[in-house]
Amino acid sequence: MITIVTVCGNGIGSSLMLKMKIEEICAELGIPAQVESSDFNGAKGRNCDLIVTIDELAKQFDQTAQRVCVVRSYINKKKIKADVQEVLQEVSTNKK
Amino acid sequence: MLDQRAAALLNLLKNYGPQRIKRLEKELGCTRRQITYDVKKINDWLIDQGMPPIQNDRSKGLTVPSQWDEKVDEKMPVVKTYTYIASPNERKGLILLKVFTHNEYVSLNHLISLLKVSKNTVLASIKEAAKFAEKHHVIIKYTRKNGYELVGEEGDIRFLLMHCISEFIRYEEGYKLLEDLYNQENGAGSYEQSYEKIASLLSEMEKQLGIKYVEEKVQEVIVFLLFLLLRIQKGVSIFYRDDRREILANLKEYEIISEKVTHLGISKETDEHLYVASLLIGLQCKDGHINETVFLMERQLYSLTQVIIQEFELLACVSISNQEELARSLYFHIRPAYYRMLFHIPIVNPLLKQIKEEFPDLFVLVKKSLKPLEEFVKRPITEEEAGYITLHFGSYVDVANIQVDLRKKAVIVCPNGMGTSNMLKYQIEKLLPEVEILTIYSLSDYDYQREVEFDLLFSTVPFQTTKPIIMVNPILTALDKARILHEFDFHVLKKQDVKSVGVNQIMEVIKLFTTINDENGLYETLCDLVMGNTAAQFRGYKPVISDLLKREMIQIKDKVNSWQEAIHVAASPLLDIQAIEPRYIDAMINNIEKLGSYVVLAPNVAIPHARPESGVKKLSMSLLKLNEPISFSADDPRKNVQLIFVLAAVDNHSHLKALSQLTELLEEEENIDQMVEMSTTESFLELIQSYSEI
Repeated sequence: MITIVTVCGNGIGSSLMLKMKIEEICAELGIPAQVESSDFNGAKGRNCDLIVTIDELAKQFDQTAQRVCVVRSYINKKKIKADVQEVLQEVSTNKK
Repeated sequence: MLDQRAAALLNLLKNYGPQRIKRLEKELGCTRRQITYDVKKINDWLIDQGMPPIQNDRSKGLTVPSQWDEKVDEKMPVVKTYTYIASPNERKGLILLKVFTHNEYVSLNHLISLLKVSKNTVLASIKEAAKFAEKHHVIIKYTRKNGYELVGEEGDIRFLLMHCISEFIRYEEGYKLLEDLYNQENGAGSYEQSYEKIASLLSEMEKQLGIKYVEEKVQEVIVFLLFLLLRIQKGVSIFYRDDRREILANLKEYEIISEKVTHLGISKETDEHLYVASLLIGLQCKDGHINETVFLMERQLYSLTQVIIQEFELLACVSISNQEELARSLYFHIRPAYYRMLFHIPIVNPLLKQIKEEFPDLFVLVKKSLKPLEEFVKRPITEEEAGYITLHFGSYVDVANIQVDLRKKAVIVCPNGMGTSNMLKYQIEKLLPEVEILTIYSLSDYDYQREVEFDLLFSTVPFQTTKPIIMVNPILTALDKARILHEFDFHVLKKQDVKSVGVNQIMEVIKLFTTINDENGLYETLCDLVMGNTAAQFRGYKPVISDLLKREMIQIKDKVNSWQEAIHVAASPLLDIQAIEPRYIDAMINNIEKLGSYVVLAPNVAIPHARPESGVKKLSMSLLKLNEPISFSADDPRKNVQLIFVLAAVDNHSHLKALSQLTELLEEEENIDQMVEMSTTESFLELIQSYSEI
């Protein structure tokens, strides 16, 4: 089981959409995952396996401390999948 | 031979001089009858020893002979300085505990010598004890062969005993009585020794787990364990029908706790081991001594906790601002409660009565909100547990604002055709949103057996029933409506305050003088005005996207001059219906200035929003379509936008459904292209509608 936090500015809109998409993708890939949505402050320093967010916000994370994956869109599943698939698989295998 | 009580009396008279009987009654806690009875006993004994008897001197009271023989002293039984006779309540508990633990035949004589009262008093106490036990589904049975026994499910019996013990601990003499009883069973000094042993095991456990237990509960559990161990020695054991070992085996603390249980002499393989282990897991921790690693373990229980909070918010019509904090603090209580419920571990809540008196509404609501937990454990929650959880909620919500607002259940009885009754149902539901119409009966179908399921009924014909009945005409006139409202308020809600005007009544008055275009809208806004909050609207219903993006919420405009203006324009319908305060618009703009144009979710689409606290009064959404794109970020052509969806959420979840539908809609890039080309509100509505049923 990997834990993922999706992040947007407020933690209730876009990140929630992203969370739903990531859950779908994880299910498709057969990766057991716990996905949560959060605002930026809540996600910073959070203990999780992966943070998924967009470019603007990704820059503000300390990427040495937290694994951050950048997506181009919050809603387009094809694009999201293309952006996260590899990372997801990698994180999931390492976890095992 | 002198018994303890008589000896105590003699000693008192000898040491303190003559005493009046009245005084002695108080001093010894005996009745006048008991004292005269004892005096007679003493005198018989004194005469046997060749001494003159005690005299009752009218002027001084009871007097011992003046020439006291020193030799008699030696023959007197040693009197404990303080002989305590248990009170009726304590006797009740002592009887139960004795029967619970004694490993041989318990006879009436055993009980008489235990309680130090007469046979008839013991019999009366046994009756009381039996009544008390019955409340816990336990029967005190007497047979010649086995003496007194407790009959019932072992789990229930233990619940009963936990109750006794927890009460005892609160009595002044309780510990002493428990100690005496225990020592009688196990030999002098054994109580202290075993108590110390268990206490040290528990404090080791605290250290190893890095937590701190609530002291009062620890004492309770130690004493309970003491007596439980006696019972286990007696050969009575708990048995779970299904194998529950696995549930506990995965818990982090199980290993440590399990080891301690083995130390108590309970073998690992037995169900008893599980029982005692979950008893310890179920011990309440002190707040602020909680181990984070344990916390992350059980997501399922944590989400259950969140569901309970949401349920509570809906039922109580409040929104809890520091949900996260409440969820955490509640989780730490629900977790042990869950294991207690699962393994039928007793807990006693000494505050229960007070809680129910002080917060009757809150208590009822919390109990209702705990439904998910009950379903999860498949066992009803006890009032004791619910009481504790009530306290948690109580500290997070302003209790004064909460009233039980549970919808009344009603049925309609109507011998007319289906069309009329459906019309009636529709009208009544509209008139009284606080009433839920369960079903419509014709007179012949009416089932008296099911009357318990509803609170009142509406009928077009008079007939006999035990429930409040409100007579109605098949078609309601304005006058009828006013009368129904009136009857409902007075007979069903039992409103005392005649002066307070309800939203319904205001609505009726408005209807008399004006035509209302949007009745629901008016009703909701009036509710907002009167109640001062809005979270109430949704009662568990999650709106779909077409509920939010209604005709009035959609605007089409040629162009705007800045993205700030775009947001202002896009949000203006929300301002009009008072779903947001003006500051919400500023908050959205600030957010974008601070965090960048991340609200542009897809090419051409922006979903600006801010936190619910920034001035959202009602869950809502609006849409602005621009014929000419506006840039949200001057140097980035990808941030040009033509479709602006303003989202105003009241919490983290009620907009979920609508949001996921919006996501589905926007995911198809064709839909975006299509919308950019649209020129009428109708075409938007059509597209939105088609995504509302997913």
